[in-house]
Amino acid sequence: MDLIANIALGFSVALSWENLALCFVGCLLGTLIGVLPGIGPLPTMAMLIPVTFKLEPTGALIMLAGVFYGSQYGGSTTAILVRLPGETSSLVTVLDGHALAQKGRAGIALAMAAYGSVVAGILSTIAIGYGAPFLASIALLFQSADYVSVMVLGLVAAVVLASGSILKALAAITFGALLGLVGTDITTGEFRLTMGFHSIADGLGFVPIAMGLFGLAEIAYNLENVAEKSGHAVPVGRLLPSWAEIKQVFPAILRGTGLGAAFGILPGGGPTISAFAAYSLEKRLSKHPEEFGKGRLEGVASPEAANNAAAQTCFIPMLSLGIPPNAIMALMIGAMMIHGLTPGPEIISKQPGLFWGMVMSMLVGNIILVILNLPLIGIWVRLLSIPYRFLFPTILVLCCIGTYTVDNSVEDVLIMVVFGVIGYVMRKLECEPTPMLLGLVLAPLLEENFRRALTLSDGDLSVFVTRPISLGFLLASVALLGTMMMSGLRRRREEAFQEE
Amino acid sequence: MKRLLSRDALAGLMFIAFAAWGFIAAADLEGGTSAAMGPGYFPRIVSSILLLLGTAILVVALWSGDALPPERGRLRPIFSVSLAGLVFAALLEKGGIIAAITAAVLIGVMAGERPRPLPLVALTGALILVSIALFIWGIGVPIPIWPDWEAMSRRWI
Repeated sequence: MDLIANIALGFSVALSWENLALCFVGCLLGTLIGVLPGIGPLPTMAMLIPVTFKLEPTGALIMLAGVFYGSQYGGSTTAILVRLPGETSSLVTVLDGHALAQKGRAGIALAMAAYGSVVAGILSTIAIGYGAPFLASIALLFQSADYVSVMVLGLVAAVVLASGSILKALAAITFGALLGLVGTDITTGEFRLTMGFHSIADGLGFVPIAMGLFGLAEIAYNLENVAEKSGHAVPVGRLLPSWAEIKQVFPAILRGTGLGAAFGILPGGGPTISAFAAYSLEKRLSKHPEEFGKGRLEGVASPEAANNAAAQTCFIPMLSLGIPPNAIMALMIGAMMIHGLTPGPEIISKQPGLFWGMVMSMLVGNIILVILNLPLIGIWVRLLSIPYRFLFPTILVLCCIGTYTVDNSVEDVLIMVVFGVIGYVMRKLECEPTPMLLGLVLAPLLEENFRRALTLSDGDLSVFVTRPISLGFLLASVALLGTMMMSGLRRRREEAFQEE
Repeated sequence: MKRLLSRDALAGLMFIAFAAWGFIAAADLEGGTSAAMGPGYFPRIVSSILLLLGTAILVVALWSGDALPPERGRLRPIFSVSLAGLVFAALLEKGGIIAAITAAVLIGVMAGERPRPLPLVALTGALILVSIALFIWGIGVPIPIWPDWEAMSRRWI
């Protein structure tokens, strides 16, 4: 069997001492920043990219992935114990999680969140193992025109599921795309949009922009709301759930996993939206919907399973198509490019060690995470008492050095500052800057395929609608946009975000 | 006037400004034809879309927006954080990592609730040590640890 050989290969890569250690470090860091409110996986991963330069690409990606799914575990700890979401994806966990904690059942809530996460993690690892190669085999049929259309669909869909104004999100993506075009034109070698700065002839770096938007801008934004950033942890209590509790919650975990896995693959999907969807689903299915928000175990287990499942399945489109469904995956693509890898359908067949090693490391990582999060919960609780006034100078300094290190360039630090200010202004004007990263990463790919498609068709734009695959994606994009404009979906979406 | 200064209308204006930047920066680039695109073709398409979206946001805001003013902010945090980044950039290559980090932390902490002197010194020291260990010894980034006195004296004397 091919699959068994691949799994064996994956384990041999994932279980090498170096990769095991990197997976552990990634999970540990992920849990750490997950627990701490005010710093998320995006800036952490951006800061880590330069640190991974000397590593093998596989090890680097294993560590970065660990930070991402590890933060999903850590986020629930803060949500349950302090009533603050450590990450946005654990916003709904706050509702029932903290209610349970107030009844003295914090330990059970933590355990349920962890079990939900580990079950979801293992099942969605299997989904990646099957799904990504399958999707890649389809993607090999794609021509340039189809790629353009699938990217358009991805960008449009990213907007549907994002929060806030649709027009603003579209504009943010487009602005990101414009920034992605800065640098040397691939065909003519001419400098574009560089405003005479030679230092950006190779393009605006991904890391300085991400650090500015999500490091500096975030610090300034958090400091203005500093009063909310303190809380007291409640005692943990009994950690082992009873058999009856496990039986009660298990179906919810499976439902959450399924929902999260599906939402993770969707362009624009990701942990946060999955957790919300899973929570609403449980509430609707439950025989006791009135108890939700007052400490139902399902209200913790299912969203936590969903956000972890989504955090993993969103790797599927990234690894098989080279198209990021959310900003974190855009960052992973940025990291792969820095390591000289071009994400796309060939990566699975040409670099099986990398792909299967990464998939299997997620399995290993989930087990590491349960160990890190349950028995060691006391350490994380103590971390919660670190005040933000010590945290933010640390983030600030690491952003500065990290950005410099990517290219040993002082100009990059200046670019970071510029984007810090832009990100801050955008947030003040209620424009979520996250979609910018998608545009930034996709623009060069989009342009390359757009140009190639039109060169082949001799400038005939109809190529995008005469190829059936491309037409299908474009129709889907139009349908999505149409539905949103009709505002039905939009209202429902806002409801989902405001669900108590 | 209230509508023009609402967060939506200002956001529209901001995107229009970004689009204008795109058009101006791509002005000297060859456009070419769709069959043989020049370097300016795609940037212009993207700038046009951005202009369209920015205008749409502005029009909607002026027409029917709820005219919410921009979220109130304090200038000190964003100012100190940015200044810390700038000073760090200015100091790093000639002044060395110790000076750059110390300056960045001291300026940076102005942004929020100031820690007391002892924890502040401890934090700065820890950050310096970790950065030297991780970045200079660990991944071999060519940054000096100590200031380059000679270069500095040449600049200032």
